[in-house]
Amino acid sequence: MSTFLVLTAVILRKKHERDEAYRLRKKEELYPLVLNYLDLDPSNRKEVEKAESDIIKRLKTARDLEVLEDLALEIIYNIAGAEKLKLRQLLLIQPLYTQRYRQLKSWRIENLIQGCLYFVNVINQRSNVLEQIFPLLENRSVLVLHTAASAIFAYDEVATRGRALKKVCMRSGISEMALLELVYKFHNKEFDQMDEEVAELKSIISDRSVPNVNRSVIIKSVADIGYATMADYLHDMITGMQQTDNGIIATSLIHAMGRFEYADAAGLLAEKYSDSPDVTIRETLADTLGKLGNTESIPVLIGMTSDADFGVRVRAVYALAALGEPGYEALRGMEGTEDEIQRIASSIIAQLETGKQKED
Amino acid sequence: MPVYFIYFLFLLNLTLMSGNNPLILIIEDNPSVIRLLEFKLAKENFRFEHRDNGPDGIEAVKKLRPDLVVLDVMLPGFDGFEVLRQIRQDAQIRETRVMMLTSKNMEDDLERVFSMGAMEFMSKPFKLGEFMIRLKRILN
Repeated sequence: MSTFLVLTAVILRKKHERDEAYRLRKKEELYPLVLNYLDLDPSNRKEVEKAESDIIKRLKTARDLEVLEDLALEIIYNIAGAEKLKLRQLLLIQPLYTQRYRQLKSWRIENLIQGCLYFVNVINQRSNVLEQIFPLLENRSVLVLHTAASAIFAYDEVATRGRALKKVCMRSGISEMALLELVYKFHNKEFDQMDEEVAELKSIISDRSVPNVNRSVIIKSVADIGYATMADYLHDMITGMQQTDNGIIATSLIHAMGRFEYADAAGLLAEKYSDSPDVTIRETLADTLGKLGNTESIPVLIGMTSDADFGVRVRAVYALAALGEPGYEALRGMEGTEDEIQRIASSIIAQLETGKQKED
Repeated sequence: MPVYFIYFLFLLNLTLMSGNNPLILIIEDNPSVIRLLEFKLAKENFRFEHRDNGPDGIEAVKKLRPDLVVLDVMLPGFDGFEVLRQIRQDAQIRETRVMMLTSKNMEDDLERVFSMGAMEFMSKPFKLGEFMIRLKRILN
């Protein structure tokens, strides 16, 4: 039995080594042809077609197609501008395109992912491809969903990207990180379409049929990416919110105000949320008031240093420290609070004074 | 016979001409970037060499005395800044012209790039045409 296992392992290893050697040879064979293609004037159709046909002649198996795709992507990641577009165009050559398109119809997850990954990188995507990819947003595998959404986010039509993002957001069980990454991809930096993207994002945020947890991620990511024109819209949302409304949305709105450094929101946030029964909201509020830098928040923050929750108290102390000299004064004047909070405040004051002495 | 003689003269001329062409030393560990740059340099008849780490790169600068070093910031062993520092501290090679390759998210380090004595930089991913223009500008 053990001899059989050893033999199998040796055979598999040999097979793998042969495969690697073949790929390396093929890559070396294709490299000069691809570089030559890269150097051609795209308006010279005859030469471009000849170069494409030279490459196609060397693509005999599915493995060859993979080598070409890997090679082109390897170069694409390192170059910009017209040359990058040229290589993305090369990826559309017939045998590769046909193979990857066929994979989109497969039932095997790895085929679907490989197919979608290909369409992330090509240009001139066609409507029949979209028809194949859109249903994959409902696939049970989160990996397939992720690569399918990434492929659609390579499209230049914002409405199409928005439709896909909304479809993703309607699903539950997507991790915050995965959704956050997808919003970054939705914001396709290759196209300058921030205003149109804002319209799509607003439509998702305002849609109450989208799970709150996903709406809250969209709100956070909008602020993290820096859609500046969304700041007023989110501020208005806070104005219209009741304290009884969903806490997770409120938390992300408060976070967003901090990220946008929307100083005028400090008063509204303090008034609405300083006595919220939700600890996470109060913690986020303390952090945000520190970021906003509005010294009018000092009385609220001083009040929060005696909050029932330790996490809120600590954040309030750090927020005061972030407000500069008036905040330090408040920290110095903190008397009669519990030992731990007093210790943190004293430690911050000591650090500040050491820093000042060094500067002097 | 005269045909062979003319051919010999032609080859000799090519060899002598390429000997006068500027020598570019690429210190970069990404094989794909090396191939791209070498392809572009070969097209324009530059001579080139490459090294894939800092220590070998410095040795090559001393030995080959290139007309220009194209130096990547992120290198195994020690980084491009350290290579540049060592070049600038060595009296024999301190005049070497250096062009740094940085990554997009290192744009805050540009001040450091120039203050340490690099003459030019390119942030990756880059346009090959622009790379050649900047390279020729330094050489001229």
